[in-house]
Amino acid sequence: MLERGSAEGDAAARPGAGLPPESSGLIVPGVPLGRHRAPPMVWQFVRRKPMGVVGAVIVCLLVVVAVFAGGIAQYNPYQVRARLRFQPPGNAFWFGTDDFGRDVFSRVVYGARISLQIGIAAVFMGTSVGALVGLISGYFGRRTDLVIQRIMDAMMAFPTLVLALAVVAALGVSLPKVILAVALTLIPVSNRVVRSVALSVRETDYVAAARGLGGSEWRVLFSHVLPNCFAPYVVIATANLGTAILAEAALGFLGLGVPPPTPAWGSMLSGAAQGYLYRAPWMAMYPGVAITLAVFGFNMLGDAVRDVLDPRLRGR
Amino acid sequence: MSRYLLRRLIATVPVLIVVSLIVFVIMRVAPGDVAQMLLSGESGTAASAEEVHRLRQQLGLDRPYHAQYMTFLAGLVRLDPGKSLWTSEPIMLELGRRIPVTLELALLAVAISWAIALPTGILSAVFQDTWIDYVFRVFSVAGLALPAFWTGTLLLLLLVQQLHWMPPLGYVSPMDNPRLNIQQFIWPALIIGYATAAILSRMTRSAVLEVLREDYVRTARAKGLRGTVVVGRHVLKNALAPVLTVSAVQMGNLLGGAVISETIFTLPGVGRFLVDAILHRDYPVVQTIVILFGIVVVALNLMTDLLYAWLDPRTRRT
Repeated sequence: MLERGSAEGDAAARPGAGLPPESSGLIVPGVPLGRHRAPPMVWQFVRRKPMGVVGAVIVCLLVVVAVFAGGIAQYNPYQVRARLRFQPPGNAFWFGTDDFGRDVFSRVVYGARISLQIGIAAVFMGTSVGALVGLISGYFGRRTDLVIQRIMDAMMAFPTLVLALAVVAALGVSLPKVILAVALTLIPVSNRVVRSVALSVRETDYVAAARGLGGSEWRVLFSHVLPNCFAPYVVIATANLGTAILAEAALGFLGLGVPPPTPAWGSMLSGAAQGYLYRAPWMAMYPGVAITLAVFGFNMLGDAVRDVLDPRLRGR
Repeated sequence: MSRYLLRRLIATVPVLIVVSLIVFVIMRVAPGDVAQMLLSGESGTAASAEEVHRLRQQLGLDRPYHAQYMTFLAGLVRLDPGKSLWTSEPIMLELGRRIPVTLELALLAVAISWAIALPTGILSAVFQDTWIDYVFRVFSVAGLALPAFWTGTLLLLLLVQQLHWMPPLGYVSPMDNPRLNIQQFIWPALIIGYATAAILSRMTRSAVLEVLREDYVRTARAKGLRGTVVVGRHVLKNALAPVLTVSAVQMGNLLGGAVISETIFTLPGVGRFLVDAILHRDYPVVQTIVILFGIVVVALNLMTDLLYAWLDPRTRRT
């Protein structure tokens, strides 16, 4: 007798049904259960989304580096060594030293912490505000929708970097202000996506039934419409992480990111790294590799999450 | 079509008003006194109350917010946004010198992005899940992950250290010396063009794949038409409309890319002007450039909508 695993209930009916029983989510009598419980879904994800797995591995590594930066870094990232300026990469300093004799490897490692901190905070803030406003806009419609969407149209009229630059120009430069500047640029996209979901959900029968049972508009909105917007929220948030890290790095490169001496990847690429580009190219090389890897990892993971949570986009 | 054009033009007006309001609000939410900040400058020494009061009057900051906004709006309509606080020159005069630089960079970058994105996107779709597809997909994914400021830096390093050649700095008009001009612009345009092509290539692949599965494409093949004719005559015509839309949306980000590229390659364009103005706390200039970029993007979106409506008459009804 065969029983279907709950999470993979329809797996056998899908094109990938030719997979062996242990990977199609079936519980086979006589075979130890321990071999089948969790792996099928993970294994299918690994098989179908190899680039997503690469992205997930990079993101996990990034998180580990950020959390255990103190243990991974060779030296104090702020420690100035006047006699050891511009040391090329070697055994003592894996990524060389900068114009103050600071260890570039340690600064790149600590930079992961700053980038991740800004990325996650900005995405959480921007995507949440955008989603909440989109939810209200889509659910209530009419004038509320009209006003909110015109504001979103206007916000979308600014190139991402230019809007962030304008905010930093007005507020000044510090970690919370950079987070706010990046978060603001992320609002319109999440707003549009969640609004479109709210627009369709509000027309469903169960929402009409909840209203008919006497539920207030706000109760219906938060108890019935909001849970349906969770999947697109996760997709947008994951996809935006790469964008946020890139935007923060761009601000840092232009000298308008997290102020020195804090080790932030974008700032490490600007100023002295550009001035001494031909003498000490490693100063600009390694932070750039770190930014590229982080953005690549988040983009790949974001694509895979989107494919899994939004079947319409699968295979594109 | 003329009714549609009128409707879209009218719809643009509130967006432009909100754009101006956003810029106005952002520039006035600065914590502390702008006049105080301007007078204290880099040294951070406090200015006297009298000096601050005089500068506030001079900048019109002592007036109510609605009056300040109306003056700001009137200046924009008259195309007279005032003078730079840093150079004391009229902002429009400086913009007049810098706009051609950014425009040339943007046009060149668009041409490069289309030249890269169309062939790679189409080939990727036609040869789906083959090595050609994988190579072009990696190429486009890399374009999305590589920051323009880093590729620019690497390119400079490559040109100078490996090829022993430095791109000429500054700006020479294409009318005066076209050869030198192209030497100045080709590298920054390549960097922005590649970043834009990465997104466009993915979009082209996706759009072509969708059209390739349509019934009329199968019919065209069944008639015995060659693959190149099917793709060239039947697929591209329908697949290019969404690509065009994304391309116009990307134009906005391309302006953001211009800010970075002009900084790396020291091109005296509008993007560089914006960064310098921010570093010098030149608020009228920042305000004007940000709103200029906003207007350009709104105008581009309008043009795309019109072009889309012309290509696909069904969209005029929505």
